Amino acid sequence: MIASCSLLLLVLIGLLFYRSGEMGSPDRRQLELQTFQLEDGWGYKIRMNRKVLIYQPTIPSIDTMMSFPNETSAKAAGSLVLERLNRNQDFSITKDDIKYLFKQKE
Amino acid sequence: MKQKRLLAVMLFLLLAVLPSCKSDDDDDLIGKWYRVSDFDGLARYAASSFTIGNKGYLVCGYDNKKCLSDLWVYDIEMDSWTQLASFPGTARHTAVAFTVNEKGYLGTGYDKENYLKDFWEYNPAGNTWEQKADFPGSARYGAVGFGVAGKGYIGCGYDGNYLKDFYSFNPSTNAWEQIISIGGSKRTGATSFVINDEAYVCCGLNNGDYVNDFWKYNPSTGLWTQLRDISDTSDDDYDDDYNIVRTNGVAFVIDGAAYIACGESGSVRSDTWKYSPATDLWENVAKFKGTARTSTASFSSGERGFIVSGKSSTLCFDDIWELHPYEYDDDDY
Repeated sequence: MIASCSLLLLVLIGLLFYRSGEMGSPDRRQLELQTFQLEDGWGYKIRMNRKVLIYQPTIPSIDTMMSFPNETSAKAAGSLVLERLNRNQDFSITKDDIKYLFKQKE
Repeated sequence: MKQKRLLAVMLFLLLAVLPSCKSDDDDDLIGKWYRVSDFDGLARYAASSFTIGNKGYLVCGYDNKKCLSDLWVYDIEMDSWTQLASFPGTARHTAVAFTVNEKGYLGTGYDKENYLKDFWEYNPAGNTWEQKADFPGSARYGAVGFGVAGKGYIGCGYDGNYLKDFYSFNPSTNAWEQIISIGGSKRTGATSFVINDEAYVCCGLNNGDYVNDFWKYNPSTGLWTQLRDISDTSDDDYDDDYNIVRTNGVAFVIDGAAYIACGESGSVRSDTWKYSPATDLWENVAKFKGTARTSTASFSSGERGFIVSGKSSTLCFDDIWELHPYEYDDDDY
């Protein structure tokens, strides 16, 4: 009796575990900002749970292939994206964001 | 006694858990949908998209509050996103976008006040936008467009009336030319796809009717050919189960076959249909695995197909899904 009970318990635990995996664990986003150096400047990456989600080698929103001129500006823009992602806001960088970021720096 | 009760409780729990583990057995349609990115954020619908090589571009759309103008590119190989130069025209939704000769084009649409007819080119080599000659038809939204054999095409849509006029754009001369209108119904919210240098237009809405006539455009002859209807209109049995008509659906092409998914017809849809041009026949494949939705965008590299964004009633989606057309899904969903 005890044996069959414990066998059933094992099966039950196994099934519950299987189902929770199938249904996905609760939304646990671990976001991380990283800057990186390119030939002509800097860019940033946003990783979610260690996987690169946003790879940003150029300045977003403006017509350019230019990267950020220095690590500080790349980090500032990346931080803005990270902050908005964490607040579940629209995280697209606007032209005004870029103007503001570069004005602040000067 | 205690043990018996415990056993009974466990059996009950086991029975409660078991049914959800069962996979559907009889209705297994080919195809398996994968959620490929956990990107929670680009929530929008009625966005526009075009694909250049292995990169999918997502631009404009509506997020329930405002019209959008940001441009993002999804790297299909890397499964990562990069924000690019924002669309410089009026922020809008329900615009048309397509690719011609490795450049993206976007035109028409709606900014919540005005129907639009401006037309723009995006060059990925310089990450730049340039305004081109205005679309010569009436300003409109819900048009359908495609790039094929070096030219771009826009037609149909809604300007207060349902439309069926069609125009071609030549990028080398920056000039538009009216072509023969699509045959059959006027329509808005139609779906297009291109296979082997021929363009196909189906679905859409006309005055409350989900249109069932289906057309192919051959750019070298400049002629439209009517294909078999996409609803059960024939006496033969190939179309007995056709349930394809819808509006604001989306298509992508994998290995020379087109797939149409999502959209709406009274309610939002998730059923997916595969079209084979060689036989002019449709086959029901695995339904979209995300929440049923409409007004989505798609990326179509010719080898891989993705569905991104969209809406269901007032909810905007931000997830991105890929169809693996030759696999089966054991999940019951």
